[in-house]
Amino acid sequence: MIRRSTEVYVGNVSPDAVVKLLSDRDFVVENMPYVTGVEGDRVKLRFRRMLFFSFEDVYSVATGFEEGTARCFFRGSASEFTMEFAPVKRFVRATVLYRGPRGWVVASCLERAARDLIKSAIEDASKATSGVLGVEDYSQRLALVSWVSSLLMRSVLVKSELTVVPRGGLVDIVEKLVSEGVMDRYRVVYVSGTSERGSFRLLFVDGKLVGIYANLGGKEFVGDERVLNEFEGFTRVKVYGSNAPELPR
Amino acid sequence: MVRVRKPYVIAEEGDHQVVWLGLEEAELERGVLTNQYLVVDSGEGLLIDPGGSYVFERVYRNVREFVNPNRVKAVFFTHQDPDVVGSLVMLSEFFPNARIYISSLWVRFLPHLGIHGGIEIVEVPDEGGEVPVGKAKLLAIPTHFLHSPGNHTLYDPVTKTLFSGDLGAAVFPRGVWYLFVEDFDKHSQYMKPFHERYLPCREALEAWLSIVSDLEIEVVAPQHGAIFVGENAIKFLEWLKKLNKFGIDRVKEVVERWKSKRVF
Repeated sequence: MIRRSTEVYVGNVSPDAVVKLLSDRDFVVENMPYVTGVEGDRVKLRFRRMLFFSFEDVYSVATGFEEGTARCFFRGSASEFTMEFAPVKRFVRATVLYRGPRGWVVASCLERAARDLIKSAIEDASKATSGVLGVEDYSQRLALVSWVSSLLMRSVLVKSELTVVPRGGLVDIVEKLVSEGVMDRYRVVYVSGTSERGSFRLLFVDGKLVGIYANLGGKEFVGDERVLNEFEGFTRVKVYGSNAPELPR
Repeated sequence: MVRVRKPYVIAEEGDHQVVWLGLEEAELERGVLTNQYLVVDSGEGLLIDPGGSYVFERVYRNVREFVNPNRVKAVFFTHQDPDVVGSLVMLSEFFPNARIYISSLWVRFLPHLGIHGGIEIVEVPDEGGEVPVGKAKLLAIPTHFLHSPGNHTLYDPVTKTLFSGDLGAAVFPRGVWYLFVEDFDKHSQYMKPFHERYLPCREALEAWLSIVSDLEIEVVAPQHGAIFVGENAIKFLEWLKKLNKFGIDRVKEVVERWKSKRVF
């Protein structure tokens, strides 16, 4: 029997909500790495370490939740393992127990799998939280790839320009781009930009700026227009327009 | 409904990787699940047949595990079906430095996907060409009429992977899915109806086979169905050579059926 433990920081998300998700069998199967087959209620996992060493088995999967801890049981024909997830302050701790052949290949894969599962649960729990609160703040929505994708599905790309932005000059450039034949044609205007420093997303509705999101060097800024002054240098700016009657939910 | 949200590395050679990007089944797909692939070389990315809008979020999330989205330098469309090109407007937004490679036949239709310019399109000529990523150069191979009139498959000489588009497509029975073909004979039953209906004629198939038979192929990665590795990749090409009575051959049967049922 091989035992491994690992912990992942959950940030602002409730660790209990994360653990609860990890007790959902469908969630675990869908987000489990190394899945190479599904047949009925069984999954095939092919674990691989480096290029040459692998081990595969077909598992039946069951999950449970007791006293705040989620447990996932994988039973195969030649091997079995369990994953336990428990909240510990602002972390979720995973404990993996493996019994079967090629433990030196499988154990490190399972440790990685447990971390990946927790990260996926954090992402989903974070989305669920935004939904529950009914956030109307478009800046927060601009941070979500799913929401921006929905917005783009009902938009057309109107302009795309590679421009040199002087420090503090981004707002003037955006204003010029959206005022020339865009604002008067489209009710909703989405502007995005990418440079070596990072990326930004802006949303205008009926000519008014209603959402700002930026990512600078990996740090996220939501609703803070001052961050736009930090952009400079070569920047690709894109302008999308939409006349769809409603914004995505 | 089968959903696999995590990617899987299907071939690797040094800092060059071929990644399958997960899948999710929709009811209307009727078992024709779509595969999206990423090739990473020297820190740059090439996306192959990235799919429609409903798979985009998963594709984007999985790409980020391997390469910075700003370093995705190319998107290659084997043809123009919606399950290949449907997310174009999102690709232009989230992979802002990617060139779009597509057969020259289909460029004029791209505005209908919400793109009026502002992205770099590389029109792939009928005779094909090279698609660079990092230090590698993949080859766009003429695959016209299989099934689209403007169609290219893509060959990666580093891992000897052939991205075959709709060739090799399989329709899984409900509740069944696997990433790699293990039992070729059984799997060929899942491929047969698709190939008999979607491929047009022997001439087109033989033209393509005459090109790929000169290539060293280790992996065949189709846009639908399962991946063929090693011996099964060879078996697949042999199976295509023996395929008979498909496409145009079936049209005559359809006409006969129509005539026999005609009541007006």
